[in-house]
Amino acid sequence: MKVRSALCLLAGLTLVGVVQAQTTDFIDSVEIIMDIEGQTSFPREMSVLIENEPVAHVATKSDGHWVWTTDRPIAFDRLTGHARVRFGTARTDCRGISSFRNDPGGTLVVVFRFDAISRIPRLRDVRVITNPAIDVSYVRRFPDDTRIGCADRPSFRGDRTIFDVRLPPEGLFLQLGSKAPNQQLKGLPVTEGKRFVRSDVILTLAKQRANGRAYVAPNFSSMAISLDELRIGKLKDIRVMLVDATVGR
Amino acid sequence: MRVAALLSALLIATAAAAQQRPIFDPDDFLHPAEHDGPIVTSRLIAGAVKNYADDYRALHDDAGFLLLTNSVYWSDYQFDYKHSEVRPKNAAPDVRVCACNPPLYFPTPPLADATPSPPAPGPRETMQFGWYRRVAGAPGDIPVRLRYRFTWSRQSIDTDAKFLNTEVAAPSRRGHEQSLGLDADTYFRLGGRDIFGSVQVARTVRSGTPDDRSQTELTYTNRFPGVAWHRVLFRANLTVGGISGRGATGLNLVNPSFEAFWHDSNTSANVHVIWSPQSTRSGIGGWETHHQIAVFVDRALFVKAFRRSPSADVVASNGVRRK
Repeated sequence: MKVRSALCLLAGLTLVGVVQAQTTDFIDSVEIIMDIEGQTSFPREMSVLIENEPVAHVATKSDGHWVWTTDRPIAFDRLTGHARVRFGTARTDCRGISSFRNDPGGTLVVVFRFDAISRIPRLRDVRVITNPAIDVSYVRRFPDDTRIGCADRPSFRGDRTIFDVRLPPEGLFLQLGSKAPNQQLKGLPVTEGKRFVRSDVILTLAKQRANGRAYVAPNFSSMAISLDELRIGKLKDIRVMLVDATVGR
Repeated sequence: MRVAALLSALLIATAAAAQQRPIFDPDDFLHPAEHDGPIVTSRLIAGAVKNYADDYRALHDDAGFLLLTNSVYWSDYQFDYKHSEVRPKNAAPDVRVCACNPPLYFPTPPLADATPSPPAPGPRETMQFGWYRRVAGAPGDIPVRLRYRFTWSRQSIDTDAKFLNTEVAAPSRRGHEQSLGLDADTYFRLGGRDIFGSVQVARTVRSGTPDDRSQTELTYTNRFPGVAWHRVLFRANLTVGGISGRGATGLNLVNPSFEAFWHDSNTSANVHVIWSPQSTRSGIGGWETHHQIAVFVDRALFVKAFRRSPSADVVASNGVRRK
């Protein structure tokens, strides 16, 4: 009886796993709908940023309604997938998928609906160099992004340029010594070009926890500091350089 | 069913019981997302306190101390074993007892409606079990993590007395003091601001000694955001509450504390300076304030982080899996 129960439980868990794993689809077309009152015209040149990476230009279909057809199917997660639209120096906030549709011929279309366009005075490219090279993850986050969890979350080692950062209000947090970025955490905040020596990194992170801006009660956690030191290893310094982004890249 | 009953019994017992954190116990909060796998660590804390108070009971003496903490962080859980040694500046007076029934001990212990004396400083063992829970944060922001922690501590108290006006040893007494409690973080928003604090419920019972006492504490500590000045961090906490067993009901504890904290990157040591003016009220003494000032250093002896397999990291972090 116990064996049978265990097998049933195992089968159930497997089924759950299969269902969860099937949230990834291959999409052929992205449809962008703009619902903005009083907005009568839009730039012709637009690009879609899937998970914050510019992937293609968008063709206009009608007023406030754009369709972009991919040149090849791309994998996209129904639950966590997100997109922004960029045109010129403006970029929308991040949105999750509004709906799915199967067009005749079997084309899978995902629809994003945007109701706000932010005029962006300035986008920055942020270059990060660690000495020596250590693992770095980063989280980019707009104030309202968390409801759909659509901050992009890549990792790199040693040196990387992070494109089109909107500072502020976009937050850019470096999670040093981490191979996998974590949405639940902040990290070393990037607000300006600066060189952080090792002690600056530790102090900045400790300050973040002390003033209650690390999603925990204000604390002087010695343990958290020890873990920070363990993670950054022999890091001597980290340089952050900001340059104006090249529009239309 | 048995487990549920056991947990219920523990919760009920805890609701009536727990223990105040010693002034020299450093913060050890660790957001579960900060570690991929289990973490094992050991830490040594050493320093001194002027006007030492133990569990809201003033010793009326200064003390030096050593604290060794051993912690395991695993997923959303934390387990600690702590051993502390506190030594007073001045030796306690000899205990004398009359050959009468019931025996009377000298110096006489405080009356029932006075603030009790703490046990003579000595070694103490503490075990803690913490659970980190995720709760909704500010609208549109990341959830915050709160910790709920059970604490059990025990200190043996041996009393070696001599009969009055003689050098003849009286029968020794082997007693102890135990404390059981719950410390629960709290969080709410007020006027667009995050308000963090914690509610502590604790019961401390001393038995087998010439001065058997017990007290129950219900306190709230508000944790104000810290500030930085150059490389030094400052913060303030405010604890208010009530403590039974001292002849004063209702609010009889007001305890602000102010801490300066400095981390030295070269030695990985943390230096703490804490001023804690502790105002308590008893039936006999009324409001009394004791100014505790602690200076101590803590440093990790080792920190071992066990990582999950790299493949697990990738799956967990990317969210979207591309082909």
